[in-house]
Amino acid sequence: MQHIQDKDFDAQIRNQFEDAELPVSSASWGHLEKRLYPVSNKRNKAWWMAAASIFLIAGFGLYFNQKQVPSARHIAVLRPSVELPAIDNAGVVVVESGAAKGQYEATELSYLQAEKAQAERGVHEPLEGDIAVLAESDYPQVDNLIQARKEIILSALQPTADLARLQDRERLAGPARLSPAADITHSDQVFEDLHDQSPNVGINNIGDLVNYVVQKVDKRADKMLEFKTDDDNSSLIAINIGLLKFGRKKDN
Amino acid sequence: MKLTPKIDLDHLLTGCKAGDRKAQELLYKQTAPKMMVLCMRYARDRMEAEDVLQLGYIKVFGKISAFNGTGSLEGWIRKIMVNTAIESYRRNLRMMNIVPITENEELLAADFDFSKMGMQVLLQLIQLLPDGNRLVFNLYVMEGFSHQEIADQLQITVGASKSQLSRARATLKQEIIKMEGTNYATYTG
Repeated sequence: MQHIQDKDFDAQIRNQFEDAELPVSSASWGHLEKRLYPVSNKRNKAWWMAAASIFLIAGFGLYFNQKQVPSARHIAVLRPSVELPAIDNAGVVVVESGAAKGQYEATELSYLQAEKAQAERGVHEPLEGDIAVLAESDYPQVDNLIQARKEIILSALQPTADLARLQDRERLAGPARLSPAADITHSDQVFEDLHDQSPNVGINNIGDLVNYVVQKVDKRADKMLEFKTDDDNSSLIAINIGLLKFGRKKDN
Repeated sequence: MKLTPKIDLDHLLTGCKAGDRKAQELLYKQTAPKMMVLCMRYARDRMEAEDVLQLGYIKVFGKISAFNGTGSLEGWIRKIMVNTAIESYRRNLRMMNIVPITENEELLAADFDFSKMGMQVLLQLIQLLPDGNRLVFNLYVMEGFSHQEIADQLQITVGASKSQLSRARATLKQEIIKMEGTNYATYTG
């Protein structure tokens, strides 16, 4: 060994390491990335937290906003001044609060104004059912409110695809059997028709509304659709569409 | 078997200067295996080498926008790694203890297969050198620094640098002689 010169020895060593490589662990880049961007990772986490919060808040907002659509048959919306009160087909009455605000009970006021509005439209029958009164500050949302009410009515009338077929069948069977409600093709007409219903029929929820429409168009003992409407949450208890048929047991 | 395709380093350099993480990852995966060998030569074990490697690349990506293209990118990264290894040596100076060179002798002798493991066995022998000897040996033999430069870097005298190198060479030669004669012959030509 002694005869080997230091320079030669060094060169041999260098040659051994020429272009030598050793594999690094597959996780090493991940570790390095965490050390390179620690703040960025925290920022990502914060961003996701913020996004989740916004999503939750928006979800709750939409949910409660939907819940805030009054279920009353008529809605009176007060606004500071209006020349001609008008009633919308979705049951929303826009009335003038004016000086009367504070002098009358809100419900009484809305009844008075709503009847006035009806009278101006040539309808002299008093309004039936309850009226929800919205505050003056809610007036800017009245368009959304009307739209929401219409959507609720439309969603309740989804089964009318079968309903329309049934109406066509009845219409073909003969005009004598047609009832005024048999021409129902639009939700607005349905709602107007609700104003003419007999006082002893109460429509408190969607189930009542569907039962009413089905009753008008389906004269069979086993109705096409029947909802249980004992409580606010209507539940479907009977279906009779051709082959698909189920219902509650008849009491003997 | 390397699965990462080689990509032009200049192209990666542009991405790294722009802060593109993908480019950084590719540059790391492309250059880290060579730098790992360098770090292993300066470190006592793989764990310490990986730490130096990571610290070095943090500096690389932090300063890469200052790289003006003079010389090769790989050479620039290598310099940063060497400086990081020296800093690590200084930082750990008080904690260092000299591992007796006979500690792993049995393992090395059993595993020695120069035809396949030449570099790795040599690497282990270098790692077993006392820290000061190893550092000077690497700087002088592998990096090509002069004794004066080493003395300035490590704040030691030129004589101390020469002494450390001399001891490092002697220890390595002694350990290589301990290997089987045939293997040693291959080593020394």
